[in-house]
Amino acid sequence: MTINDKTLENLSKLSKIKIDDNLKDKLKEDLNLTMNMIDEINKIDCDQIEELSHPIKDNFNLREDKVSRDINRESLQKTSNKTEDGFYLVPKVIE
Amino acid sequence: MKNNWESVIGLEIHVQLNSESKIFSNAPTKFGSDQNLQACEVDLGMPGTLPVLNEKVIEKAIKFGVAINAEIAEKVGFARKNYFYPDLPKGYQISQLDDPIVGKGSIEIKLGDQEIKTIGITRAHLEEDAGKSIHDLFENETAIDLNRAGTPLLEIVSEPDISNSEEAVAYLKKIHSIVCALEISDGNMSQGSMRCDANVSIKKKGDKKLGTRTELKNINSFKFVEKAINFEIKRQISCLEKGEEIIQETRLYDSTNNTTRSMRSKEEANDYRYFPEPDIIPIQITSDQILKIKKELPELPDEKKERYKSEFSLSEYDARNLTYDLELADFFEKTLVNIDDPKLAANWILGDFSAILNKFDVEAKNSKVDAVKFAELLNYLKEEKISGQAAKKVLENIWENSDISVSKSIESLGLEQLSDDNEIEQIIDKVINDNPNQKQQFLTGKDRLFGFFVGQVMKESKGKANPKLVNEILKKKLV
Amino acid sequence: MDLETLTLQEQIEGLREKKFSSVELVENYISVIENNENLNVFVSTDFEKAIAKAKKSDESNNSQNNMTLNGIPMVHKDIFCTQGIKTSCGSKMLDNFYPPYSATVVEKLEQAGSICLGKANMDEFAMGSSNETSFYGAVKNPLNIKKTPGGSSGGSAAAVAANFSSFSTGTDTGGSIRQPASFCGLAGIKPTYGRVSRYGMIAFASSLDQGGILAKNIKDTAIALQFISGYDSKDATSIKAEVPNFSEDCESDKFDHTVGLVTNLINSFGDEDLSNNYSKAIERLKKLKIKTKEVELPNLELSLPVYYVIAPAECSANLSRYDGIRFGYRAENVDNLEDLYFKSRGEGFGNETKKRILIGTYCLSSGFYDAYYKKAQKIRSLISSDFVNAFKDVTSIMLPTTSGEAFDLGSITDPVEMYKQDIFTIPANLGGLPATSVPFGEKNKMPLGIQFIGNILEESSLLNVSNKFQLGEK
Repeated sequence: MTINDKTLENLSKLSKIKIDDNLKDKLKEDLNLTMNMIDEINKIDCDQIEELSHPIKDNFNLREDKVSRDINRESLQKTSNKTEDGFYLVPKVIE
Repeated sequence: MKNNWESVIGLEIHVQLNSESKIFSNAPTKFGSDQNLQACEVDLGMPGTLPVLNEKVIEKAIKFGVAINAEIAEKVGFARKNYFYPDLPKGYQISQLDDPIVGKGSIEIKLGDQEIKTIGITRAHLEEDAGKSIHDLFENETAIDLNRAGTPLLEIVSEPDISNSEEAVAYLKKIHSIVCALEISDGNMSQGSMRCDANVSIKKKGDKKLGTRTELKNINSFKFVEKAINFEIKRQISCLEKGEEIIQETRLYDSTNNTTRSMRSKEEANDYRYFPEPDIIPIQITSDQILKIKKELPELPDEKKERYKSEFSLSEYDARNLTYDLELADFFEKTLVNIDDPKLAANWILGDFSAILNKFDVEAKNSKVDAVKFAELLNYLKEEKISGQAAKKVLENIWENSDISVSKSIESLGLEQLSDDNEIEQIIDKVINDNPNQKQQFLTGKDRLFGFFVGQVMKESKGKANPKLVNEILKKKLV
Repeated sequence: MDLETLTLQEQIEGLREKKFSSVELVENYISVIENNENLNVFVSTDFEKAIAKAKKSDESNNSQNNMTLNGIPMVHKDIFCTQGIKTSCGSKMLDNFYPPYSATVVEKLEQAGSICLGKANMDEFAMGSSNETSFYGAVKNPLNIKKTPGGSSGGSAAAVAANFSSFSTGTDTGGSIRQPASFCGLAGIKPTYGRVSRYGMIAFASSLDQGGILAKNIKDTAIALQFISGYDSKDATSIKAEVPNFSEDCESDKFDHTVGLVTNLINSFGDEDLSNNYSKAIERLKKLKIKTKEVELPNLELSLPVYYVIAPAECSANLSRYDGIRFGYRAENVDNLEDLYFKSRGEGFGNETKKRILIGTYCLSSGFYDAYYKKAQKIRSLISSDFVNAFKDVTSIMLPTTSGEAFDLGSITDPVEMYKQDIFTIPANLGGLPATSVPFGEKNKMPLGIQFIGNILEESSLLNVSNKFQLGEK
């Protein structure tokens, strides 16, 4: 089994997603079915091939260094559930 | 450091590049605006928004690379570094992993008057800055200000070539002078434009194997670099001497208490899951582009220093210290427009002028005494119209009273040099008469007492007597 | 006249000739929509605004000069940000999200004068092939309400199929325009990666996502595609290339076609219906006197596993921004910051989204990166090269759009079976290539689709061959 309880816990931690206990078994099953399908790629030998991260190469576009934005904080912060005095708020972080 | 240990240090310096707009958005970068007024939807990582790379940022990074004789990458690719923190809006930082824009290079630092050391630079890469978390503003909440999010950073990573805190400071100052000379950063450390992490480890002298290292975070001044590293070296030595092991961990430097404390150990460190940033296609840098930047490169501190040595016959020491701080060098050159004595100008700028800048915590460009006035003062000195002691007093006086002229200041303080032979003779006669014993001893061979007489004459004249004349006349009178 | 059954082209002509008004068009659609609410097509609608816009359009009467879509109603997939209008992406996470900006695609269509009737339901964050992963429940196929309309642009497809609009926008990461088009008997196009700006289009997998069009026929997709295409300085991956006149090119005689075939590959699936429909499609090409040539796509079948590494990996990062802080669902009653993260994301995301984030996180995590992510990118390179080689000999490649017809809602529970839905559509996304789906054939009284894949930026030729194929013999 590729993804066991320990892996699942680690993945949950890394992705900061709470996984309900009653979903764990079904989730593990689904993830392992998917990983089995994915494992097909390990049958191919292609060490010498260069990776492809962008389907269209040599198409880089840069931006001029210009400030051209009216920033409307009020309108941007309307989408947030918790702001005060222009700050976004989160539970206190103790460093 | 105790004799049987030696320390190995590497620095990671984050330099904020001084572009007008952010690295991936067209929001402004300027420092100090009200919270979240400089964070646009791209900086906030809002759904559907995309990063577009600022061309100036690429140019600035290449400038740095060329200045340290490093290889510039042909292909510049970005990567996502994944971790969660409230001041990192997208949940990943766009950084560089495999294709840093600047490859291996090096810089030279000078330690004593003669000693030169080369510090290797492993790489320098571009990335976006995060926002700020403010923990003490609200009682139960941490406040997030994302103005800084997306500010361009150049992270300069050194080889572990640095042996102690003194070298670390010299290296940091050198990098500071280079980025300022290149005008790619404002270099303002108090506003966080340059921040530094230090990797510190110690080993027994002569050991080949490196010790376990700790990473010190959050160092934002030259002074703190020295203190943090010294503290950490001491801590590590005392650990090892007690038979304890050094844990590989990140430690936070606490400048208030001058200590370092553990943040997290590497075992529980984040798994950053770097992968190529799909939203940004790798940029090709052409040799023409690099050549163009090379040609337009401003004079670098080392070049300036050599020029000062040859053009102005300054010592290595003076030339180096003047060129460390670009503003000081600028002030120096402006001063020379009105006074033809580089050595005198260098001495005064590095001495009393720097002292007064430090005293009032002002940078040379904001000096209350401008270069013209300063040159005027030095000319009085050069022409022996005032003494060195007097010049110091005048400098302080014109610093505090910006509307007063040099001549007025000298006059009002009554500090014109006394160069009248008769007046000086009178004073000398009085001093010799008042000290018959000393005269007797001098005449029987106690040459040292000549200085005593000079001192007394100067005291009697309230520091105004021309020392050269005093010497001459005194010699005649005493023999 | 049943205005709602008209094609986009017929509507443009009708408005120009003043056979009917934009208000009539809009009102007609509204009554059809209101009579078919059971299809669950929309996440949100704003009919009042639509009527107001239509009135304005009728009054302006400067109509069809350069604003060809002036007064034409349409539907946006709810993945495109619409300023001040809820944009949910099919997720509870964004159920409360009213973006302060609009997607470039939305702005462009607005500038062209079209009128948005509503935002179409979709699989959550475009992750699904049946519309069943939507927080708002599955859309039903208008041709048979027991069936799925496909996904993830299921609402967009159902909207056109149910005569709620003559065209709609969609997005396609692994087949999300073409598969629903096929399931609903429509034409659809996913253009070249970079042809249409992704700005404001909520990201699923950034290197694969591409916006496109669903309509009743290829000609209509060409007309609408024209308006959403073009370089956008807000999307660094968008292409600085001139946009051809797609609708003209679509019907032009200037293109010389050689269609690439993969008969052996199709037969190797051992699915008689699939092979038969493919053979019939070849016959149609022959009758149309379009040249054909067998080509090799040796790594095609690896597209599926490769896609299920790359897409989840990219999505795992793209979806990290949903933390409850600046926008989106924020869990209540949390103890600390960690709790805020875990609960907001745990409660805000649906199961399929969670699964994909977890798979992607796994494939990128320390110790697995080389074996999965890097390996997948290498094979992606191979698949892309296969296409480059094939396009040396042919101008387009013909494949089935899907292996079968629309299936019953709720009938597929094995995740891998569901993922296999996209086996023929994924390769075009991996290669960044433009591809269409054209209605062709049927099975169990439900439509099937044939797919044409074109070369990079060759949408004109692709639309031309697709159009010829759709029209059949004259």
